[in-house]
Amino acid sequence: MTRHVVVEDPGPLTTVQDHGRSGQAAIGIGRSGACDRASYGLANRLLGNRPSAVALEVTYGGLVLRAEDEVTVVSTGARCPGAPHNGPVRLRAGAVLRLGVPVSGMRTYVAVRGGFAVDPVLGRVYAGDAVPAGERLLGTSAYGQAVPVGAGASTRRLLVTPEPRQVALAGENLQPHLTTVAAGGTVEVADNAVYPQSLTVTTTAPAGQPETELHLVAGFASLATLLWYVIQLGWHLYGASDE
Amino acid sequence: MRVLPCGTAGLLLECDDLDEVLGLYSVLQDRRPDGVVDVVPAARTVLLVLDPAVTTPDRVRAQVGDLDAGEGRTTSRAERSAVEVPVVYDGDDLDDVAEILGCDRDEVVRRHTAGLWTVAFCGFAPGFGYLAADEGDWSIPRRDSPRTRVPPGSVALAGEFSGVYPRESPGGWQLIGRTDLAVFDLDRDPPALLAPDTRVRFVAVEP
Repeated sequence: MTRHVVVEDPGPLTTVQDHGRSGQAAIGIGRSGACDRASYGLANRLLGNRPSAVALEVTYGGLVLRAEDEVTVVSTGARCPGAPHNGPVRLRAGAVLRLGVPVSGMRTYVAVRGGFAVDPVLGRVYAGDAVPAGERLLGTSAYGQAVPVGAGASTRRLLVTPEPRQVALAGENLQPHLTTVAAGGTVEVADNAVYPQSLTVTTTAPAGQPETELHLVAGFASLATLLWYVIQLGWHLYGASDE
Repeated sequence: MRVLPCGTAGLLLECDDLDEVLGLYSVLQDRRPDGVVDVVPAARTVLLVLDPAVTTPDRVRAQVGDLDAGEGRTTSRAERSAVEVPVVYDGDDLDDVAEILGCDRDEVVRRHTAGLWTVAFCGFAPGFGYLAADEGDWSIPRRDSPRTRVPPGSVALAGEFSGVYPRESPGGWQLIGRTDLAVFDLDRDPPALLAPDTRVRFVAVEP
């Protein structure tokens, strides 16, 4: 399924960005990539995109984006009036997204489900390609199933992406502590029968590695809150859910 | 070597001299600790950039504390082949450099082409290497005021270093010649010919 959007107006400056590339600093090439990496990363996580999916970096708002085909978009970073901020929305074919000027902050990330298809340079999108008015961008189909925040069922099985991530969970002494979920492992979250207003998080490591079960207490009264929290922490929730 | 903190995702190794820098750089090419995503040499330091998802500064500090720059030093370097840079020595500042050195133009060319150079580190622009001479004491002051445009391929001198401008840019170095060799090409693998620790020989050619 193709998903095209048209940048009717790039505002003062809109560029295509990904997370840049390391490993070339010794020959004078810096990392480049999105300026506000946390916001760029959050946009992709909210959509179930790969961590390196290409997004638009909008400076001082003003972007006017028309969806030629139905597409799911989100914005993060500097909040612009008119933007689907921190929460993905589906744009119908023909719908137009208009970003106002942010009151605070300068860079807004506008991402689509799947990211944009742009030719890589040096193995990555070369940072700073400015998008001219009228440019037609194609979305890729490379994305997982984004875990819906606030959906009904109380049990979710989530597949952790190939990069090891850390999750903050409360241990027996009710203080948050960090633990690493092994790459390729799964995390199962369910209502905790013993502790009210808490969830049980069970992590399963890949074959050969130990399993852990942790009790999450206090502050995560609902699955929706937990999922939002882990997305903020940097998890890529990328895989099937069973209901 | 001192190991200094450098933010939450970096370590700066401070060295006594360029030899130690290149020695460490060479050793780290072979034995790079997990999670070190960039090793960046400079005149007296080597910067290690870490990926915080994989490792921590403390962990890397423990791994580099034992590194011996001597392992990577000159013996192996002498065996490696040098990149040849063909140069037409007709730079605008060749006379000025001759005067600084108290000799004539031909002698400047002779000294520049006599020995081998080593790329000490890169910076300023992608693919711009700062070359240090094996022999001779080069100490050439920069231009009083920089040029706003230096042609690509310009071969230049400043301080103890020589360099080749990979593309048109401003520049304050003394221009002694030009080369057709594309020292930086984004479409080539590797893109930069003059990467750190590369051996270089300048060769005089006719225009």
